[in-house]
Amino acid sequence: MKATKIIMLTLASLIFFSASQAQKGETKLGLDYSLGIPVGDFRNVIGKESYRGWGFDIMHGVNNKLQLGLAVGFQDFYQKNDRQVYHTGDGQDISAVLTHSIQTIPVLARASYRLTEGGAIQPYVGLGVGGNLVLFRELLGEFGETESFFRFALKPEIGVQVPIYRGAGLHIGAAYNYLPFGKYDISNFNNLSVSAGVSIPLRK
Amino acid sequence: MQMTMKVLMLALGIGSLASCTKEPLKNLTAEESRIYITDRDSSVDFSSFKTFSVVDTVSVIDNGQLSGRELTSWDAAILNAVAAEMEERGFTLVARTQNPDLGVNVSRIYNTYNGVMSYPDYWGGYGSYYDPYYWGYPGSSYYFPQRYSIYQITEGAASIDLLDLKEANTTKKIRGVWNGLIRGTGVFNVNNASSQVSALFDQSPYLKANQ
Repeated sequence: MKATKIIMLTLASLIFFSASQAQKGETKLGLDYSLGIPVGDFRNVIGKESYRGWGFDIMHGVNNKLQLGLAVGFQDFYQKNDRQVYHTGDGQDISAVLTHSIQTIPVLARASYRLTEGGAIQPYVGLGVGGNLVLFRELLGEFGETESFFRFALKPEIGVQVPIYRGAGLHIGAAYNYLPFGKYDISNFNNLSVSAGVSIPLRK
Repeated sequence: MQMTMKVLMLALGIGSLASCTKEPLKNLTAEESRIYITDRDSSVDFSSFKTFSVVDTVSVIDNGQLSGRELTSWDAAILNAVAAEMEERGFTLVARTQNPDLGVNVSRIYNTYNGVMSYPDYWGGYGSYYDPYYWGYPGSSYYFPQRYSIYQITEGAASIDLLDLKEANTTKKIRGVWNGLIRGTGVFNVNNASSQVSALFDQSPYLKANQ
């Protein structure tokens, strides 16, 4: 019963604080934790999800629904494979523990569109376009070097934001990170990301 | 003050980016760090060889130059392990004077690389260095007239060669028909000698006296 009261009070306070939620002219700093899940061709290189990801953005409210800004992210993908013999040529074999370590650092122009102007839970859609700095490392045992590439990046996303207090809020979302690669027989590093974070108003 | 906190939060966030990468080399054991490379002459039928002989010392090759021949405990262990693996695959060990079909050479290869290190770069500034107070000179600062240092990294590898001695009489050339190379951490640990040789032979199932 006590728990029900707490939930009711929390919901009521969320609705109260969000009632006058307006973002026009407001600039916000967003900070996110993100989980990355390789999909498609990328999954042949790294099948494991990444729990090491962050994102920052600075968004400006053009009107009460549309925000424009810049976003920077980071996701670290890693997989160590069991020792295996690889045939590398006529009569040539290498037995090694193969490790892939891939970091993606997107720098995006981002637009976010809120589907509702008020309410405790506000769904939004977004799109980021820009480039991805990719740090690629393939190790046979302890041997290998890091190479860096810059590739196109496209990031459609959906999510919900929950206003908390004076323009600050929480948000959770999911995005598809389109990241073509085209090197070493790897066509892309496409991945899904699920993120959660906070946004803090910088000025109005 | 509020803006300072926000900027500090952002800086902390950006700083955490560098620390949340899973560093591959720190997640490898010594065994996992090693690689075993084999290279055979595909035109050779190894069942045509019946006997072999192994060198009695190991060649030490330093930056491409033979610096000597030695028989350390690791050298003895690797020579014994190679002989045992060859016998297990049906080849017969004979003395060098008994015209073996195959000869086995074993080498330790060392390559040394030089690098230059700048002290300020290495320490990343003196923030985390010993406070001069430690030496009884509070308020003093450090000064290094020699700001650069030379360092050396030596990487070692073990190499095993199988040599065709049967046709050497007619061609007057000793042809290498198989090479096994071991690189990585702990290659010259005597406890790893036998397992390393086994790894090379395990990935070379064609090395058999009787196919």
